[in-house]
Amino acid sequence: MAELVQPFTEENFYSALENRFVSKVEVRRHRHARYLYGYLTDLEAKSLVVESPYTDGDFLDDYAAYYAKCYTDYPRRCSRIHFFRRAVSEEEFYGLLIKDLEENERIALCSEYLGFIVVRPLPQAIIGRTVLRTYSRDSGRRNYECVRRYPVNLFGLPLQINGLAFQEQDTVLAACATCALWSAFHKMADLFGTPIPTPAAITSQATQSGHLGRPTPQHGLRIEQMCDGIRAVGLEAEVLDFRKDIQEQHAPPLSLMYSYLRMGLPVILVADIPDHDLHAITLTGFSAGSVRVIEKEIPGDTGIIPLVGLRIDELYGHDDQTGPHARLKVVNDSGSKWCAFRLRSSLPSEAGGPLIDLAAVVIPVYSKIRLTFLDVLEEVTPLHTVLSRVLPESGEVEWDLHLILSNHYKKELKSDPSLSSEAKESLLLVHHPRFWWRAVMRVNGRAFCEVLCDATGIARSLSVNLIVWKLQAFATQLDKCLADPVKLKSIRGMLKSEHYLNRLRKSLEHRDQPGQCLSSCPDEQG
Amino acid sequence: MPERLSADKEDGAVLTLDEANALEWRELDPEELDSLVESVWETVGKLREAQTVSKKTLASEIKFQVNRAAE
Repeated sequence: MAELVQPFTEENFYSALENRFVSKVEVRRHRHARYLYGYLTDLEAKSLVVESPYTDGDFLDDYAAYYAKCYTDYPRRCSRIHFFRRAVSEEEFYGLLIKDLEENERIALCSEYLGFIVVRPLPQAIIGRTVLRTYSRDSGRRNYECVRRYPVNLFGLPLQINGLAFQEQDTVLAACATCALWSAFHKMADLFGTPIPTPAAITSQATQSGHLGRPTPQHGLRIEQMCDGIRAVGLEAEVLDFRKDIQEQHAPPLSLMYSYLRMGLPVILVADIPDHDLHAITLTGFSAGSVRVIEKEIPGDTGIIPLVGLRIDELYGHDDQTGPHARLKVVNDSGSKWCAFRLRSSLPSEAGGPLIDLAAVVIPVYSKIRLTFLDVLEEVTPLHTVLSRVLPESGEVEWDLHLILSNHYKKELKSDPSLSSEAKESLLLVHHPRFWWRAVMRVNGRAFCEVLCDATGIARSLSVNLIVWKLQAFATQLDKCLADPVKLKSIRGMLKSEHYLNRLRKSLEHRDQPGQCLSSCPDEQG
Repeated sequence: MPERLSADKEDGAVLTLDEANALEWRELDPEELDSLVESVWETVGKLREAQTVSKKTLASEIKFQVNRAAE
Protein backbone atom coordinates (compact mmCIF):
# COMPACT_ATOMS: atom_id res chain seq x y z
CA MET A 1 0.00 0.00 0.00
CA ALA A 2 1.31 3.46 -0.96
CA GLU A 3 2.36 5.83 1.79
CA LEU A 4 -0.42 8.17 2.81
CA VAL A 5 1.60 11.39 2.64
CA GLN A 6 4.33 11.80 0.05
CA PRO A 7 6.48 14.56 -1.33
CA PHE A 8 5.15 15.81 -4.68
CA THR A 9 7.61 14.34 -7.17
CA GLU A 10 7.14 13.09 -10.72
CA GLU A 11 7.75 9.52 -9.53
CA ASN A 12 5.24 9.71 -6.67
CA PHE A 13 2.64 11.49 -8.80
CA TYR A 14 2.65 8.90 -11.57
CA SER A 15 2.71 6.06 -9.02
CA ALA A 16 -0.40 7.47 -7.38
CA LEU A 17 -2.21 7.41 -10.73
CA GLU A 18 -1.41 3.81 -11.67
CA ASN A 19 -3.89 0.98 -11.24
CA ARG A 20 -4.02 -2.70 -12.09
CA PHE A 21 -4.88 -1.92 -15.72
CA VAL A 22 -2.37 0.91 -16.25
CA SER A 23 1.27 0.63 -15.22
CA LYS A 24 3.40 3.57 -14.11
CA VAL A 25 5.21 3.44 -17.47
CA GLU A 26 1.86 3.85 -19.24
CA VAL A 27 0.79 6.61 -16.86
CA ARG A 28 3.94 8.52 -17.83
CA ARG A 29 2.75 8.44 -21.46
CA HIS A 30 -0.80 9.47 -20.53
CA ARG A 31 -1.12 13.06 -21.77
CA HIS A 32 -3.58 14.15 -19.07
CA ALA A 33 -1.21 12.86 -16.42
CA ARG A 34 1.68 14.77 -18.01
CA TYR A 35 -0.44 17.93 -18.26
CA LEU A 36 -1.58 17.62 -14.64
CA TYR A 37 1.97 17.05 -13.42
CA GLY A 38 3.07 20.24 -15.21
CA TYR A 39 0.05 22.15 -13.93
CA LEU A 40 0.61 21.12 -10.31
CA THR A 41 4.31 21.91 -10.62
CA ASP A 42 3.33 25.42 -11.76
CA LEU A 43 1.04 25.67 -8.73
CA GLU A 44 4.11 24.78 -6.61
CA ALA A 45 2.70 21.55 -5.16
CA LYS A 46 4.99 20.15 -2.46
CA SER A 47 3.02 17.25 -0.98
CA LEU A 48 0.36 14.77 -1.98
CA VAL A 49 -1.97 12.70 0.14
CA VAL A 50 -3.45 9.46 -1.22
CA GLU A 51 -7.01 8.69 -0.11
CA SER A 52 -7.75 5.12 -1.11
CA PRO A 53 -10.27 3.61 -1.41
CA TYR A 54 -12.53 6.53 -2.27
CA THR A 55 -16.15 6.26 -3.41
CA ASP A 56 -16.85 8.80 -6.13
CA GLY A 57 -20.55 9.44 -6.80
CA ASP A 58 -20.06 10.21 -10.49
CA PHE A 59 -17.98 7.12 -11.14
CA LEU A 60 -20.35 4.96 -9.11
CA ASP A 61 -23.21 5.99 -11.38
CA ASP A 62 -21.12 5.27 -14.47
CA TYR A 63 -20.09 1.99 -12.88
CA ALA A 64 -23.69 0.94 -12.26
CA ALA A 65 -24.73 2.02 -15.76
CA TYR A 66 -21.99 0.22 -17.64
CA TYR A 67 -18.88 -1.17 -15.99
CA ALA A 68 -20.70 -3.44 -13.52
CA LYS A 69 -22.14 -5.35 -16.45
CA CYS A 70 -18.82 -5.98 -18.20
CA TYR A 71 -17.13 -9.38 -18.17
CA THR A 72 -13.93 -7.80 -16.82
CA ASP A 73 -14.05 -7.23 -13.09
CA TYR A 74 -13.64 -3.43 -12.80
CA PRO A 75 -13.41 -2.15 -9.23
CA ARG A 76 -16.19 0.19 -8.17
CA ARG A 77 -14.03 2.28 -5.87
CA CYS A 78 -11.51 4.90 -6.92
CA SER A 79 -8.69 6.64 -5.16
CA ARG A 80 -8.37 10.37 -4.61
CA ILE A 81 -5.12 12.32 -4.53
CA HIS A 82 -4.95 15.62 -2.68
CA PHE A 83 -2.26 18.25 -3.20
CA PHE A 84 -0.77 20.82 -0.83
CA ARG A 85 1.50 23.76 -1.52
CA ARG A 86 3.67 23.09 1.49
CA ALA A 87 5.82 20.17 2.50
CA VAL A 88 3.83 18.10 4.99
CA SER A 89 5.38 15.19 6.85
CA GLU A 90 3.33 12.13 7.70
CA GLU A 91 3.76 12.91 11.39
CA GLU A 92 2.49 16.47 10.91
CA PHE A 93 -0.46 15.22 8.85
CA TYR A 94 -1.51 12.70 11.51
CA GLY A 95 -1.24 15.50 14.04
CA LEU A 96 -3.64 17.63 11.97
CA LEU A 97 -6.09 14.74 11.61
CA ILE A 98 -6.70 14.17 15.28
CA LYS A 99 -6.61 17.82 16.27
CA ASP A 100 -9.78 19.87 16.57
CA LEU A 101 -8.58 22.71 14.34
CA GLU A 102 -9.13 26.32 15.29
CA GLU A 103 -10.78 28.38 12.54
CA ASN A 104 -7.54 30.25 11.76
CA GLU A 105 -5.67 26.92 11.46
CA ARG A 106 -8.33 25.56 9.11
CA ILE A 107 -8.15 28.72 6.96
CA ALA A 108 -4.35 28.46 6.86
CA LEU A 109 -4.58 24.81 5.78
CA CYS A 110 -7.15 25.63 3.08
CA SER A 111 -4.85 28.35 1.73
CA GLU A 112 -2.20 25.64 1.15
CA TYR A 113 -4.66 23.18 -0.38
CA LEU A 114 -4.47 22.93 -4.20
CA GLY A 115 -7.30 20.47 -4.84
CA PHE A 116 -7.74 16.82 -5.78
CA ILE A 117 -7.82 14.28 -8.59
CA VAL A 118 -10.09 11.23 -8.47
CA VAL A 119 -8.27 8.29 -10.08
CA ARG A 120 -10.63 5.86 -11.79
CA PRO A 121 -9.84 2.13 -11.84
CA LEU A 122 -10.12 1.94 -15.64
CA PRO A 123 -7.71 0.86 -18.38
CA GLN A 124 -7.37 4.23 -20.13
CA ALA A 125 -9.55 7.08 -18.90
CA ILE A 126 -8.02 7.24 -15.44
CA ILE A 127 -8.66 10.90 -14.67
CA GLY A 128 -12.03 11.19 -12.96
CA ARG A 129 -13.56 14.16 -11.14
CA THR A 130 -10.76 16.66 -10.67
CA VAL A 131 -10.96 20.03 -8.97
CA LEU A 132 -7.78 22.09 -8.89
CA ARG A 133 -7.03 25.65 -7.98
CA THR A 134 -6.56 28.06 -10.90
CA TYR A 135 -3.41 29.98 -11.76
CA SER A 136 -2.97 33.33 -10.02
CA ARG A 137 -4.73 36.42 -11.37
CA ASP A 138 -1.42 37.89 -12.54
CA SER A 139 -2.26 41.50 -11.63
CA GLY A 140 -5.84 41.09 -12.81
CA ARG A 141 -5.01 39.90 -16.32
CA ARG A 142 -6.40 36.42 -15.71
CA ASN A 143 -10.03 36.11 -14.71
CA TYR A 144 -11.50 32.75 -13.78
CA GLU A 145 -15.17 33.53 -13.36
CA CYS A 146 -16.49 30.00 -13.89
CA VAL A 147 -15.23 28.48 -10.68
CA ARG A 148 -17.06 27.66 -7.48
CA ARG A 149 -16.32 26.55 -3.97
CA TYR A 150 -16.18 22.82 -3.27
CA PRO A 151 -16.12 21.59 0.31
CA VAL A 152 -13.71 18.66 0.66
CA ASN A 153 -13.53 16.24 3.56
CA LEU A 154 -10.18 14.47 3.84
CA PHE A 155 -10.30 11.88 6.63
CA GLY A 156 -12.34 14.36 8.66
CA LEU A 157 -10.22 17.39 7.76
CA PRO A 158 -12.63 20.11 6.55
CA LEU A 159 -11.02 21.66 3.46
CA GLN A 160 -12.33 23.70 0.57
CA ILE A 161 -11.17 24.51 -2.92
CA ASN A 162 -12.24 27.04 -5.56
CA GLY A 163 -12.22 25.44 -8.98
CA LEU A 164 -14.50 23.69 -11.47
CA ALA A 165 -14.91 19.94 -11.78
CA PHE A 166 -13.13 18.36 -14.74
CA GLN A 167 -12.93 14.81 -16.02
CA GLU A 168 -11.46 12.97 -18.95
CA GLN A 169 -13.88 11.42 -21.47
CA ASP A 170 -14.12 7.65 -21.33
CA THR A 171 -15.88 7.37 -24.75
CA VAL A 172 -18.12 4.79 -23.09
CA LEU A 173 -20.63 6.99 -21.28
CA ALA A 174 -19.18 10.38 -22.14
CA ALA A 175 -17.43 11.95 -25.11
CA CYS A 176 -16.11 15.53 -25.04
CA ALA A 177 -19.57 17.11 -25.43
CA THR A 178 -20.93 15.24 -22.39
CA CYS A 179 -17.88 16.11 -20.28
CA ALA A 180 -18.19 19.78 -21.32
CA LEU A 181 -21.86 19.84 -20.26
CA TRP A 182 -21.04 18.10 -16.98
CA SER A 183 -18.44 20.74 -16.08
CA ALA A 184 -20.81 23.55 -17.12
CA PHE A 185 -23.62 22.12 -14.96
CA HIS A 186 -21.34 22.24 -11.91
CA LYS A 187 -21.10 26.01 -12.26
CA MET A 188 -24.77 26.48 -13.14
CA ALA A 189 -25.75 24.54 -10.01
CA ASP A 190 -23.73 27.00 -7.98
CA LEU A 191 -25.38 30.00 -9.65
CA PHE A 192 -28.98 28.82 -9.98
CA GLY A 193 -29.38 25.67 -7.89
CA THR A 194 -29.99 23.46 -10.94
CA PRO A 195 -29.13 19.74 -10.76
CA ILE A 196 -25.80 18.19 -11.76
CA PRO A 197 -26.57 14.95 -13.57
CA THR A 198 -23.78 12.40 -13.86
CA PRO A 199 -22.15 11.90 -17.29
CA ALA A 200 -24.21 8.75 -17.84
CA ALA A 201 -27.43 10.69 -17.15
CA ILE A 202 -26.38 13.63 -19.37
CA THR A 203 -25.72 11.30 -22.31
CA SER A 204 -29.01 9.54 -21.72
CA GLN A 205 -31.02 12.80 -21.50
CA ALA A 206 -29.30 14.35 -24.52
CA THR A 207 -29.96 11.36 -26.76
CA GLN A 208 -33.63 10.79 -25.95
CA SER A 209 -34.65 11.73 -29.46
CA GLY A 210 -33.01 12.12 -32.82
CA HIS A 211 -30.02 9.93 -32.11
CA LEU A 212 -29.07 7.52 -34.82
CA GLY A 213 -27.65 4.32 -33.42
CA ARG A 214 -26.88 3.58 -29.81
CA PRO A 215 -25.91 6.35 -27.41
CA THR A 216 -23.46 4.13 -25.54
CA PRO A 217 -20.64 3.52 -26.17
CA GLN A 218 -20.72 7.28 -26.56
CA HIS A 219 -18.98 8.78 -29.59
CA GLY A 220 -20.29 12.34 -29.55
CA LEU A 221 -23.32 14.63 -29.41
CA ARG A 222 -24.65 17.11 -31.92
CA ILE A 223 -25.35 20.71 -30.89
CA GLU A 224 -29.12 20.15 -30.70
CA GLN A 225 -28.50 17.17 -28.45
CA MET A 226 -26.35 19.34 -26.19
CA CYS A 227 -29.29 21.77 -26.12
CA ASP A 228 -31.59 18.88 -25.11
CA GLY A 229 -29.16 18.04 -22.29
CA ILE A 230 -29.24 21.66 -21.13
CA ARG A 231 -33.05 21.85 -21.21
CA ALA A 232 -33.25 18.62 -19.22
CA VAL A 233 -31.76 20.39 -16.19
CA GLY A 234 -34.19 23.31 -16.47
CA LEU A 235 -31.94 25.76 -18.30
CA GLU A 236 -32.07 27.31 -21.77
CA ALA A 237 -29.35 27.11 -24.41
CA GLU A 238 -28.01 30.08 -26.35
CA VAL A 239 -26.33 28.89 -29.54
CA LEU A 240 -24.18 31.09 -31.77
CA ASP A 241 -22.92 29.62 -34.96
CA PHE A 242 -19.81 31.01 -36.63
CA ARG A 243 -19.63 28.53 -39.49
CA LYS A 244 -20.88 30.97 -42.07
CA ASP A 245 -19.47 32.69 -45.13
CA ILE A 246 -17.40 35.70 -44.19
CA GLN A 247 -20.03 38.05 -45.70
CA GLU A 248 -22.61 36.60 -43.32
CA GLN A 249 -20.40 36.80 -40.26
CA HIS A 250 -21.54 39.55 -37.87
CA ALA A 251 -21.26 38.40 -34.27
CA PRO A 252 -17.97 39.31 -32.53
CA PRO A 253 -17.05 35.96 -30.92
CA LEU A 254 -14.55 36.97 -28.21
CA SER A 255 -16.69 39.82 -26.91
CA LEU A 256 -19.72 37.56 -26.96
CA MET A 257 -17.99 34.83 -24.93
CA TYR A 258 -16.59 37.42 -22.53
CA SER A 259 -20.03 38.95 -21.95
CA TYR A 260 -21.37 35.68 -20.49
CA LEU A 261 -18.14 34.49 -18.87
CA ARG A 262 -17.84 37.67 -16.85
CA MET A 263 -20.99 36.75 -14.94
CA GLY A 264 -19.68 33.23 -14.47
CA LEU A 265 -21.83 31.56 -17.12
CA PRO A 266 -19.77 28.71 -18.57
CA VAL A 267 -19.50 29.11 -22.33
CA ILE A 268 -19.04 25.82 -24.20
CA LEU A 269 -16.76 26.51 -27.11
CA VAL A 270 -17.20 24.24 -30.12
CA ALA A 271 -13.90 24.11 -31.99
CA ASP A 272 -13.08 22.78 -35.40
CA ILE A 273 -9.83 20.80 -35.15
CA PRO A 274 -7.96 20.77 -38.48
CA ASP A 275 -8.39 17.43 -40.31
CA HIS A 276 -10.41 16.08 -37.39
CA ASP A 277 -13.82 16.51 -35.78
CA LEU A 278 -15.58 19.16 -33.78
CA HIS A 279 -14.50 19.41 -30.15
CA ALA A 280 -16.25 20.88 -27.08
CA ILE A 281 -14.37 22.81 -24.39
CA THR A 282 -16.01 24.44 -21.34
CA LEU A 283 -14.45 27.85 -20.79
CA THR A 284 -13.58 28.74 -17.21
CA GLY A 285 -11.97 32.13 -17.74
CA PHE A 286 -10.13 34.60 -19.92
CA SER A 287 -7.15 36.91 -19.94
CA ALA A 288 -7.67 40.56 -20.85
CA GLY A 289 -4.52 42.64 -21.18
CA SER A 290 -4.39 46.41 -21.24
CA VAL A 291 -3.76 46.66 -24.99
CA ARG A 292 -5.57 45.29 -28.01
CA VAL A 293 -4.17 42.06 -29.43
CA ILE A 294 -6.33 41.89 -32.54
CA GLU A 295 -7.68 44.63 -34.80
CA LYS A 296 -11.06 43.01 -35.32
CA GLU A 297 -12.88 39.87 -34.27
CA ILE A 298 -14.51 39.03 -37.57
CA PRO A 299 -13.21 39.67 -41.09
CA GLY A 300 -14.41 42.42 -43.38
CA ASP A 301 -15.77 45.88 -42.70
CA THR A 302 -18.47 44.92 -40.24
CA GLY A 303 -19.35 48.17 -38.49
CA ILE A 304 -19.08 46.42 -35.12
CA ILE A 305 -18.42 48.90 -32.30
CA PRO A 306 -15.06 48.50 -30.47
CA LEU A 307 -15.51 45.91 -27.72
CA VAL A 308 -13.46 44.31 -24.94
CA GLY A 309 -12.91 41.19 -27.06
CA LEU A 310 -10.12 42.99 -28.92
CA ARG A 311 -8.05 42.87 -25.70
CA ILE A 312 -8.66 39.21 -24.88
CA ASP A 313 -5.41 37.36 -25.47
CA GLU A 314 -6.17 34.00 -23.87
CA LEU A 315 -9.13 31.84 -22.96
CA TYR A 316 -8.97 29.06 -20.36
CA GLY A 317 -11.06 25.95 -20.52
CA HIS A 318 -11.64 22.41 -19.40
CA ASP A 319 -10.46 20.50 -22.46
CA ASP A 320 -11.07 16.84 -21.81
CA GLN A 321 -8.32 15.98 -24.28
CA THR A 322 -5.78 18.07 -22.39
CA GLY A 323 -6.73 18.97 -18.84
CA PRO A 324 -8.39 21.56 -16.61
CA HIS A 325 -8.01 25.30 -17.27
CA ALA A 326 -6.07 24.57 -20.49
CA ARG A 327 -4.94 27.67 -22.36
CA LEU A 328 -6.30 28.75 -25.74
CA LYS A 329 -4.16 31.57 -27.04
CA VAL A 330 -5.78 34.13 -29.36
CA VAL A 331 -3.70 34.41 -32.53
CA ASN A 332 -4.15 37.00 -35.27
CA ASP A 333 -4.66 34.77 -38.28
CA SER A 334 -6.15 35.72 -41.62
CA GLY A 335 -6.27 32.01 -42.49
CA SER A 336 -9.13 31.43 -40.10
CA LYS A 337 -12.20 29.91 -41.75
CA TRP A 338 -14.79 32.09 -40.07
CA CYS A 339 -13.21 34.64 -37.69
CA ALA A 340 -10.35 37.14 -37.82
CA PHE A 341 -8.36 35.05 -35.34
CA ARG A 342 -7.65 31.45 -34.44
CA LEU A 343 -6.93 29.79 -31.14
CA ARG A 344 -3.68 28.00 -30.39
CA SER A 345 -4.75 25.10 -28.24
CA SER A 346 -2.80 23.14 -25.66
CA LEU A 347 -3.60 19.88 -27.46
CA PRO A 348 -0.57 17.66 -28.02
CA SER A 349 1.16 18.32 -31.35
CA GLU A 350 4.65 18.66 -32.71
CA ALA A 351 4.37 22.42 -33.25
CA GLY A 352 3.30 23.48 -29.75
CA GLY A 353 -0.46 23.04 -30.03
CA PRO A 354 -2.53 23.13 -33.22
CA LEU A 355 -4.38 26.23 -34.36
CA ILE A 356 -8.10 25.60 -34.10
CA ASP A 357 -11.09 27.44 -35.54
CA LEU A 358 -14.02 28.58 -33.46
CA ALA A 359 -17.12 26.91 -34.96
CA ALA A 360 -19.89 27.73 -32.49
CA VAL A 361 -20.65 28.45 -28.86
CA VAL A 362 -23.32 26.87 -26.68
CA ILE A 363 -24.18 28.78 -23.52
CA PRO A 364 -26.46 27.39 -20.81
CA VAL A 365 -28.47 30.31 -19.42
CA TYR A 366 -31.12 30.76 -16.76
CA SER A 367 -34.55 30.98 -18.36
CA LYS A 368 -35.17 34.53 -17.12
CA ILE A 369 -32.14 35.83 -19.02
CA ARG A 370 -34.06 36.46 -22.20
CA LEU A 371 -32.10 39.14 -23.98
CA THR A 372 -28.98 38.02 -25.78
CA PHE A 373 -25.64 39.70 -26.29
CA LEU A 374 -26.62 40.51 -29.87
CA ASP A 375 -29.98 42.01 -28.83
CA VAL A 376 -28.14 44.48 -26.61
CA LEU A 377 -25.40 45.15 -29.14
CA GLU A 378 -28.15 46.18 -31.56
CA GLU A 379 -29.37 48.78 -29.03
CA VAL A 380 -25.93 50.11 -28.17
CA THR A 381 -24.66 50.45 -31.75
CA PRO A 382 -26.64 53.58 -32.78
CA LEU A 383 -26.03 55.19 -29.37
CA HIS A 384 -22.29 54.60 -29.76
CA THR A 385 -22.39 56.40 -33.10
CA VAL A 386 -23.99 59.44 -31.47
CA LEU A 387 -21.74 59.49 -28.40
CA SER A 388 -18.52 58.92 -30.28
CA ARG A 389 -19.19 62.00 -32.48
CA VAL A 390 -18.51 64.34 -29.58
CA LEU A 391 -15.45 62.56 -28.21
CA PRO A 392 -11.97 63.97 -28.77
CA GLU A 393 -10.25 62.55 -31.87
CA SER A 394 -7.47 60.98 -29.82
CA GLY A 395 -9.73 58.96 -27.54
CA GLU A 396 -9.66 55.16 -27.84
CA VAL A 397 -13.23 54.04 -27.22
CA GLU A 398 -14.16 50.63 -25.88
CA TRP A 399 -17.49 49.14 -24.87
CA ASP A 400 -17.44 46.60 -22.08
CA LEU A 401 -20.70 44.73 -22.67
CA HIS A 402 -21.55 42.02 -20.17
CA LEU A 403 -24.27 40.32 -18.16
CA ILE A 404 -24.32 41.03 -14.46
CA LEU A 405 -26.49 40.04 -11.52
CA SER A 406 -28.06 43.20 -10.10
CA ASN A 407 -26.71 42.28 -6.66
CA HIS A 408 -23.18 42.21 -8.08
CA TYR A 409 -23.86 45.45 -9.91
CA LYS A 410 -24.77 47.06 -6.59
CA LYS A 411 -21.60 45.71 -5.04
CA GLU A 412 -19.47 47.17 -7.86
CA LEU A 413 -21.41 50.43 -7.59
CA LYS A 414 -20.26 50.97 -4.03
CA SER A 415 -16.60 51.05 -5.05
CA ASP A 416 -17.11 53.09 -8.22
CA PRO A 417 -14.96 56.24 -7.81
CA SER A 418 -16.65 58.09 -10.66
CA LEU A 419 -20.09 58.25 -9.01
CA SER A 420 -21.08 60.61 -6.23
CA SER A 421 -22.61 59.32 -2.99
CA GLU A 422 -25.89 60.89 -4.08
CA ALA A 423 -25.85 58.96 -7.38
CA LYS A 424 -24.92 55.70 -5.66
CA GLU A 425 -27.65 56.10 -3.09
CA SER A 426 -30.30 56.70 -5.73
CA LEU A 427 -29.21 53.58 -7.63
CA LEU A 428 -28.95 51.38 -4.54
CA LEU A 429 -32.37 52.27 -3.19
CA VAL A 430 -34.31 51.60 -6.36
CA HIS A 431 -35.77 48.26 -7.51
CA HIS A 432 -33.63 46.44 -10.10
CA PRO A 433 -34.32 43.49 -12.39
CA ARG A 434 -32.43 40.35 -11.33
CA PHE A 435 -30.08 40.50 -14.34
CA TRP A 436 -28.70 43.48 -16.17
CA TRP A 437 -26.97 43.68 -19.49
CA ARG A 438 -24.46 46.41 -18.82
CA ALA A 439 -22.44 48.27 -21.45
CA VAL A 440 -19.70 50.49 -20.04
CA MET A 441 -18.26 53.03 -22.46
CA ARG A 442 -14.61 53.66 -21.71
CA VAL A 443 -12.34 56.19 -23.33
CA ASN A 444 -8.61 55.63 -22.81
CA GLY A 445 -9.52 53.32 -19.95
CA ARG A 446 -11.85 55.71 -18.10
CA ALA A 447 -15.56 55.00 -17.84
CA PHE A 448 -17.55 57.86 -19.40
CA CYS A 449 -21.01 56.34 -19.13
CA GLU A 450 -22.80 53.02 -18.82
CA VAL A 451 -25.97 51.69 -20.37
CA LEU A 452 -28.16 49.28 -18.40
CA CYS A 453 -30.60 46.99 -20.20
CA ASP A 454 -33.08 44.74 -18.45
CA ALA A 455 -31.92 41.22 -19.37
CA THR A 456 -35.30 39.78 -18.38
CA GLY A 457 -37.10 42.07 -20.83
CA ILE A 458 -38.32 41.77 -24.37
CA ALA A 459 -36.09 41.95 -27.42
CA ARG A 460 -37.39 44.23 -30.18
CA SER A 461 -38.80 46.65 -27.66
CA LEU A 462 -36.40 49.23 -26.25
CA SER A 463 -34.36 47.34 -23.68
CA VAL A 464 -32.23 50.32 -22.61
CA ASN A 465 -33.54 51.25 -19.16
CA LEU A 466 -30.94 53.67 -17.98
CA ILE A 467 -27.80 55.53 -18.97
CA VAL A 468 -25.54 56.42 -16.04
CA TRP A 469 -23.22 59.35 -16.72
CA LYS A 470 -19.82 58.97 -15.10
CA LEU A 471 -18.19 62.11 -16.44
CA GLN A 472 -19.91 65.46 -15.95
CA ALA A 473 -18.24 67.12 -18.93
CA PHE A 474 -19.43 64.34 -21.24
CA ALA A 475 -23.01 64.63 -20.02
CA THR A 476 -22.87 68.42 -20.40
CA GLN A 477 -21.66 68.03 -23.97
CA LEU A 478 -24.55 65.71 -24.80
CA ASP A 479 -26.99 68.10 -23.12
CA LYS A 480 -25.81 70.87 -25.42
CA CYS A 481 -26.37 68.67 -28.47
CA LEU A 482 -29.94 67.86 -27.43
CA ALA A 483 -30.65 71.57 -26.89
CA ASP A 484 -29.69 72.33 -30.49
CA PRO A 485 -32.71 71.59 -32.78
CA VAL A 486 -30.54 70.65 -35.78
CA LYS A 487 -28.38 68.26 -33.78
CA LEU A 488 -31.42 66.90 -31.99
CA LYS A 489 -33.02 66.03 -35.33
CA SER A 490 -29.91 64.10 -36.39
CA ILE A 491 -29.73 62.23 -33.08
CA ARG A 492 -33.41 61.33 -33.39
CA GLY A 493 -32.72 60.09 -36.92
CA MET A 494 -29.87 57.90 -35.71
CA LEU A 495 -31.71 56.37 -32.73
CA LYS A 496 -34.89 55.91 -34.83
CA SER A 497 -36.98 55.87 -31.66
CA GLU A 498 -38.64 58.66 -29.73
CA HIS A 499 -38.68 56.34 -26.74
CA TYR A 500 -34.89 55.92 -26.90
CA LEU A 501 -34.40 59.66 -27.26
CA ASN A 502 -36.58 60.25 -24.21
CA ARG A 503 -34.54 57.77 -22.16
CA LEU A 504 -31.37 59.59 -23.20
CA ARG A 505 -32.90 62.96 -22.28
CA LYS A 506 -34.22 61.71 -18.98
CA SER A 507 -30.90 60.12 -18.01
CA LEU A 508 -29.18 63.46 -18.58
CA GLU A 509 -31.84 65.28 -16.62
CA HIS A 510 -31.38 62.91 -13.64
CA ARG A 511 -27.64 62.45 -13.97
CA ASP A 512 -27.04 63.39 -10.32
CA GLN A 513 -29.61 60.83 -9.16
CA PRO A 514 -29.80 58.24 -11.96
CA GLY A 515 -31.91 55.87 -9.84
CA GLN A 516 -34.85 58.22 -10.40
CA CYS A 517 -35.03 57.08 -14.01
CA LEU A 518 -35.77 53.57 -12.79
CA SER A 519 -38.14 54.50 -9.99
CA SER A 520 -40.26 56.71 -12.23
CA CYS A 521 -41.13 53.84 -14.59
CA PRO A 522 -41.53 50.77 -12.38
CA ASP A 523 -43.94 49.18 -14.82
CA GLU A 524 -41.10 48.85 -17.30
CA GLN A 525 -38.83 46.87 -14.97
CA GLY A 526 -38.51 43.10 -14.97
CA MET B 1 -16.30 39.58 -10.41
CA PRO B 2 -13.23 40.79 -12.27
CA GLU B 3 -11.40 43.41 -10.24
CA ARG B 4 -9.57 44.95 -13.16
CA LEU B 5 -10.46 44.60 -16.77
CA SER B 6 -9.10 47.72 -18.33
CA ALA B 7 -6.05 49.88 -18.06
CA ASP B 8 -5.98 51.09 -14.50
CA LYS B 9 -4.62 54.34 -13.17
CA GLU B 10 -1.32 52.77 -12.20
CA ASP B 11 -0.72 51.80 -15.83
CA GLY B 12 -0.39 55.48 -16.66
CA ALA B 13 -2.68 54.89 -19.66
CA VAL B 14 -5.85 56.14 -18.09
CA LEU B 15 -7.15 59.66 -17.83
CA THR B 16 -7.52 61.27 -14.45
CA LEU B 17 -10.93 62.73 -13.68
CA ASP B 18 -9.61 66.26 -14.11
CA GLU B 19 -7.96 65.39 -17.41
CA ALA B 20 -11.13 63.75 -18.66
CA ASN B 21 -13.29 66.73 -17.72
CA ALA B 22 -10.85 69.07 -19.44
CA LEU B 23 -10.89 67.17 -22.75
CA GLU B 24 -11.38 69.08 -25.96
CA TRP B 25 -14.79 67.86 -27.04
CA ARG B 26 -15.81 67.78 -30.68
CA GLU B 27 -18.83 69.60 -32.02
CA LEU B 28 -21.37 67.04 -33.17
CA ASP B 29 -21.69 67.40 -36.93
CA PRO B 30 -25.34 66.68 -37.88
CA GLU B 31 -24.48 66.09 -41.54
CA GLU B 32 -21.84 63.56 -40.61
CA LEU B 33 -24.28 61.79 -38.27
CA ASP B 34 -27.01 61.77 -40.93
CA SER B 35 -24.62 60.22 -43.42
CA LEU B 36 -23.96 57.31 -41.04
CA VAL B 37 -27.58 56.32 -40.40
CA GLU B 38 -27.84 53.87 -43.28
CA SER B 39 -24.61 51.97 -42.55
CA VAL B 40 -25.25 51.82 -38.79
CA TRP B 41 -28.73 50.38 -39.28
CA GLU B 42 -27.39 47.97 -41.86
CA THR B 43 -25.03 46.69 -39.12
CA VAL B 44 -27.95 46.45 -36.70
CA GLY B 45 -29.86 44.39 -39.25
CA LYS B 46 -26.90 42.07 -39.69
CA LEU B 47 -26.64 41.54 -35.94
CA ARG B 48 -30.24 40.29 -36.02
CA GLU B 49 -29.37 37.84 -38.78
CA ALA B 50 -26.33 36.60 -36.85
CA GLN B 51 -28.57 34.82 -34.35
CA THR B 52 -29.57 32.16 -36.88
CA VAL B 53 -27.95 28.74 -36.66
CA SER B 54 -26.83 26.98 -39.83
CA LYS B 55 -27.77 23.40 -40.61
CA LYS B 56 -24.10 22.70 -41.21
CA THR B 57 -23.24 23.09 -37.53
CA LEU B 58 -26.31 21.28 -36.29
CA ALA B 59 -25.60 18.24 -38.42
CA SER B 60 -22.05 17.77 -37.12
CA GLU B 61 -21.28 15.52 -34.22
CA ILE B 62 -18.92 16.85 -31.57
CA LYS B 63 -16.68 13.93 -30.84
CA PHE B 64 -13.02 14.89 -31.11
CA GLN B 65 -10.58 12.52 -29.47
CA VAL B 66 -6.81 12.60 -29.85
CA ASN B 67 -5.66 9.52 -31.70
CA ARG B 68 -3.73 7.63 -29.06
CA ALA B 69 -1.69 5.81 -31.68
CA ALA B 70 -0.43 9.16 -32.96
CA GLU B 71 0.82 10.33 -29.57
